[in-house]
Amino acid sequence: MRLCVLGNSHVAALKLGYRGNDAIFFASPSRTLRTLQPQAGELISTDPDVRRRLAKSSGGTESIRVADFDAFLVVGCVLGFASATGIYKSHRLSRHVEDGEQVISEAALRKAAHGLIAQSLARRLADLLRSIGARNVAIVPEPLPTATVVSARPWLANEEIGTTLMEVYLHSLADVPHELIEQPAHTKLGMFTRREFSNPSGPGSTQFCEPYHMNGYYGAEVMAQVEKHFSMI
Amino acid sequence: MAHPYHNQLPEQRWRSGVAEQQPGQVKGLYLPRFSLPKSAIATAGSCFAQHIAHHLNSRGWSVLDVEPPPPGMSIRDAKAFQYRIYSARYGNIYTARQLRELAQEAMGGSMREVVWERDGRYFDAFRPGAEPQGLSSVDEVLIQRRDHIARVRTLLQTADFWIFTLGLTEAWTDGTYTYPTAPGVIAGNYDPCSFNLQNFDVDEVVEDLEVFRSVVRELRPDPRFLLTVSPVPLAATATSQHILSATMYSKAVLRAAAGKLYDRYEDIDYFPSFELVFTPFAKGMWFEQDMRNVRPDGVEMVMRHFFADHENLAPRQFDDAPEDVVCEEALLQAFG
Repeated sequence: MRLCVLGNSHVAALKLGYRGNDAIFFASPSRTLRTLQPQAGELISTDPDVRRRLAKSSGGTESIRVADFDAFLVVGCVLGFASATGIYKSHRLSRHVEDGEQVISEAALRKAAHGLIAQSLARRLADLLRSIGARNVAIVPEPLPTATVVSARPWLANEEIGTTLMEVYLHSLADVPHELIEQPAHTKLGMFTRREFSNPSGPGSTQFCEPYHMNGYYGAEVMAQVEKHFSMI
Repeated sequence: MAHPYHNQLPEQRWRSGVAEQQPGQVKGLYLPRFSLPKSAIATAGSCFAQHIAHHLNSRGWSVLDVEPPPPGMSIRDAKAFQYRIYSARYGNIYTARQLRELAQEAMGGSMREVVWERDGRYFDAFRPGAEPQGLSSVDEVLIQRRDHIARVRTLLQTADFWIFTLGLTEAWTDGTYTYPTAPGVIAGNYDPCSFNLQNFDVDEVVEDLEVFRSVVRELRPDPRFLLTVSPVPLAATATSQHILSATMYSKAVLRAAAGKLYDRYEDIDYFPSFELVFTPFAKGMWFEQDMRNVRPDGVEMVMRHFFADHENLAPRQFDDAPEDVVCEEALLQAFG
């Protein structure tokens, strides 16, 4: 099966963990991937720099031709729990307000979370691929952050807040009209990714060293899940 | 023979000022008293004021928003929750009395904590449309209201330029407070023993706006105010008058009050949106078939006049849904 893996920095872990020969990885920062446009059966960027980035990550191919692949994987691209938790920087349910955050209702929180998912780059890229005839399109959401994220987002140390946000996030995923590949259960610890799957806890670690990006061990687990998913189609 | 009209300008005579002009292209109707500031503009008012806020934003003026929507919320959802309509999430403020009470509450007056119920959900009686499905408890409504009022206080302490569109003279009161909708329209129950219709007259509207002006002037060194009168007729009247008579009374009162305030205070300007749309000069051409809602090209025409004499910043491009004015008054039409 010829697999196209397209995404932002989260592609790195999957590439590091992949041991097969059938996948081609296209990676570039999210803001640059927004320049991808459909054109005669392929996704191609209007920006030469983005085409260069895609060529570099894929080993020479600067656009994604639908006919060249059997399945497509959109990775990360601002679709994930971490994006949803960002709402709480400025807006919170009344029972969670701590320091002057704007009070919002649960209905407004759900609408915002749905909006974030609906407007995410991952959703847009998957839609674009479908629009030019791609079949077997799936999305791998961003991994859950590791527990060290609480230093940047201390509200996630509050279990009740975390549980609430996780429920809202999962509910908002239900409306995504594409297959979603869930994070492997054994990589998770509550609402976080286990530390051993984050950089720099093992060989094949990514260049990133913060709570949002994972290493090659994690990538291998996800790619196993991906292969299982597409083998069932 | 000399007479007092001899030296009047063409725009001061009906034939040259109106009859010979094309509707929508009248000259000299609006001569701004002062320029719009580049920042710290606040907007409030009735339905038509939503257009002014929207067009100010889209033309690059910085309209304050002290109560923005949560990140990710779509424009359509934000409007449904009354975000991004005005400078705070107070919804439509139809009467000058509402504006006065809101400012007084925000600056330390008595907290207006009245909660209405509908089907087991709870609503802030002073902005019942802010949460389309209501909230789960009275406490939640009150917490959200206190947060809202704190943000209105910030707005009052920050804004240097207030644009307020006068919409109605009819309002419902419980003897203490004034409400934006009649109880029972969105939530709550109408009890004729508790609620009374009040139809404000010119002096009352003038006094309410004078009190609002005083509140703002205590907080800001040199605030300016721009008044407009909504050209949108009443959806319904609770008086015994025909709706046409009730509408004319209401608009006449509001226009007279705005004129009186304009004459009395140098820091108050008046923009004639009402004249541009509602008068015989407009021949009714800017209304939809219902002769009530203003057509989009009518709104554009009004805004063109508004901005023609203000410095026009480079328009920004917005990925926006067509304007969809949120108006509780429309509920009266839908549900009687």
